[in-house]
Amino acid sequence: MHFAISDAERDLYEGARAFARAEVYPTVLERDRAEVFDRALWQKMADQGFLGAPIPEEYGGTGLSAIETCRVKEGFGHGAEDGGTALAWGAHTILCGVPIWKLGTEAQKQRYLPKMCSGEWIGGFCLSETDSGSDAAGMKTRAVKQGDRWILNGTKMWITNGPVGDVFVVTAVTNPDARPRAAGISTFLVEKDFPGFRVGQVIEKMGMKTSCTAELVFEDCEVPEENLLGMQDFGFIITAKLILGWERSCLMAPGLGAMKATIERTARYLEERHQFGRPIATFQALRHMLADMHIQSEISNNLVYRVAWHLDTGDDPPLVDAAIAKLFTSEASQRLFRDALQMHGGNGFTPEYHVERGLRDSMLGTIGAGTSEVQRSIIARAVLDLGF
Amino acid sequence: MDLALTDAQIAFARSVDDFCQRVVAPQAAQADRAGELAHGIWREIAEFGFFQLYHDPEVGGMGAEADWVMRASAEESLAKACAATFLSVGASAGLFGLPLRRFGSEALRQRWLPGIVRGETIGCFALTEPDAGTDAAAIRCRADRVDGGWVLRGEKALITNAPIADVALVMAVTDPEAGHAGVTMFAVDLRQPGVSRTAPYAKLGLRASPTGGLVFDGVRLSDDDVVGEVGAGFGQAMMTLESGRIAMAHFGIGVAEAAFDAACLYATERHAFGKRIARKQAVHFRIADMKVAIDGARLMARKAAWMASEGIPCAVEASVAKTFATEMAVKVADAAVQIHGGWGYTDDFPAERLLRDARLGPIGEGTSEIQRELIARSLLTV
Repeated sequence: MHFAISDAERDLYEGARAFARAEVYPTVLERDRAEVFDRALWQKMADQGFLGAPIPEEYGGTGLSAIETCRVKEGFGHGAEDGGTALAWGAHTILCGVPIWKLGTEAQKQRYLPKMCSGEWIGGFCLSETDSGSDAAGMKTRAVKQGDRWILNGTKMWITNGPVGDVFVVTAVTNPDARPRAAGISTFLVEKDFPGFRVGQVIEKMGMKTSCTAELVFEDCEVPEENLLGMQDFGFIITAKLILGWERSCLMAPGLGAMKATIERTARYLEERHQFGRPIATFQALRHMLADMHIQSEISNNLVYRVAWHLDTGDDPPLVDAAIAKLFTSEASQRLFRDALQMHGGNGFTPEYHVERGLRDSMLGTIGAGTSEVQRSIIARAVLDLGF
Repeated sequence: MDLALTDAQIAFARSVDDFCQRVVAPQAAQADRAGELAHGIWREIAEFGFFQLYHDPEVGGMGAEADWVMRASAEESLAKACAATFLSVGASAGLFGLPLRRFGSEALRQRWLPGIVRGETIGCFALTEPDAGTDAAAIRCRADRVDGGWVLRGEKALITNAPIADVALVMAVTDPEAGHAGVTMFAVDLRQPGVSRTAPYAKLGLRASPTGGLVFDGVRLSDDDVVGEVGAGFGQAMMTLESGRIAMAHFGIGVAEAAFDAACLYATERHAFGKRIARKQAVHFRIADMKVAIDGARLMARKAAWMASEGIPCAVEASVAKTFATEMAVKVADAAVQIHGGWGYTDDFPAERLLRDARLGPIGEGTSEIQRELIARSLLTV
């Protein structure tokens, strides 16, 4: 057992951090205010090899391990302090790219991955519906086989990259009689130009405003049979198992970097701001709040990298460890930003100090990819012998 | 990063946990009531080889055959089985034994460590005074130069094992003008004239581990009793506390594990409104939170212990591990009491003892406040 960070990992981290500081951070306030996803910036990220970070080089990716991918993402988060862009990247590379890489046919991989890695195409992942999220039993989107195509009908909700995406991993019920119902849900690769696909309403959000989110509508949407991803009826279970670990490590990693950036930012603020004739950094209440931020950040870091380590060792999907990392890190991040905002006083309540955006962005963490409540259920069921 | 354990580490962790559950745990409740360590427990722990984990073959230890992962799992398992026993054993093996191993002369090590490793000698670490804890500048205990040695005068307080120890590491001022550089560490035989002990304190928890004061009234010490260099005692004590903080993190993790197990067991057996209470979401989720906190603490403690074993400076990581683990242990033990309802408040169940025991964690080896101060200093320039 060791906790060493290799020189290569350190270089990946510092490279991503420097890039993000120079290219992403300078415009983040403006993009957040305007609520825009920046395609030019996206292309620069592609040129850095970020968009295909864990994807093998033969498909145009960078071929990094999960731990290395997390280092890149953490460094990016540290430099960029831009939760939305990191989220768009996560939805693209981890939620859409990884299932295609791990479950796709050779033809599917050849068709989609190079374009996704190069930045030409943007990917997304469609699971949630208005009335169904973690509880797949409530899923209404249906796929029915007609000849050599699948016909999809339904509406997917809160889809990151929805308004700009070119290809989506879409879950739909293929066997409504299956019990459990999750065993009757398949996964499809849907392109934006397929007949019957359209972007519904674009969704306004509290945070993560530098990414875009939409409702996606499938009305007799025609999907060629070769676009079934993985096994019929079991695509959802297999995809969910596969990406759980990935999303609960790689998707959390930029947040680790953002926590570090916020600790540094807050420390500098406490040193510069004077009250009662001295820097407020000399007040113990604030010093200890800062120490707490550091504690939360350190604990989060270990938990997230433990999941990435599992992925690299090829163990079974680390279901419980992933839930632990996701639950702790997302809640720690909210506490951390709240404290940072508090210590910035009135300034913290304004956008220029970057912490109010951080707090807004962090609010998605305990909701997306399975709420904190769902994570607690997963963990408690695993440790208690209750026979479910 | 590689979190994999070797087969030997896994096998050792299993055997030490089995020993602790079989031999130590069944005596914990009675030892707490009696206010003293279970009879013969020290010898059994020594016979198992616990003390050997920390020491070199020259004094009877395992040397390089024992690694930091084995020590970590042994500490957690012992604390889980009986926190009070862990505290006393840890004070002798670690707080007394490790600085002596690291800084002491060959003669001093040969004099004291074989007995420590065999479990026949009990050691303690005497830094705290009635009015001085982590603030070493306030130390009043004095060792004055005399012909052929030193004379020790002063008082130490809140010392784990003081009532039962044979020997103490005592931090005393040898040069009052020199501040931190005027403190020296001595190995003091407590069975000699001039040493007296105060009655053991009555404590909130950890009652089986005796804590007391030491009074030195003109105790004669020789130059051979100096541990390390004259004037280096403060730095040596701080380095000792740094590794002690990692041990305190293990203390927290062990106590929390015991509370977690007790809560899971009770919650799956107890029914209310026709259901096991473990199925009630308020209880169910609380158990999840306990598990999350324990995992977070353990990984942090492992990271700090790995750094220490590699010689990488880890003062901040040790403080983070200690603060998080000991504070989470109080929360986890409190949750365990709550999950037990009325029974949790009685000593029919272990939860109340665990809560009382856990409460030392955020105080001992540098309070949480000191830890946060140390962490903040690493982040700030003022």
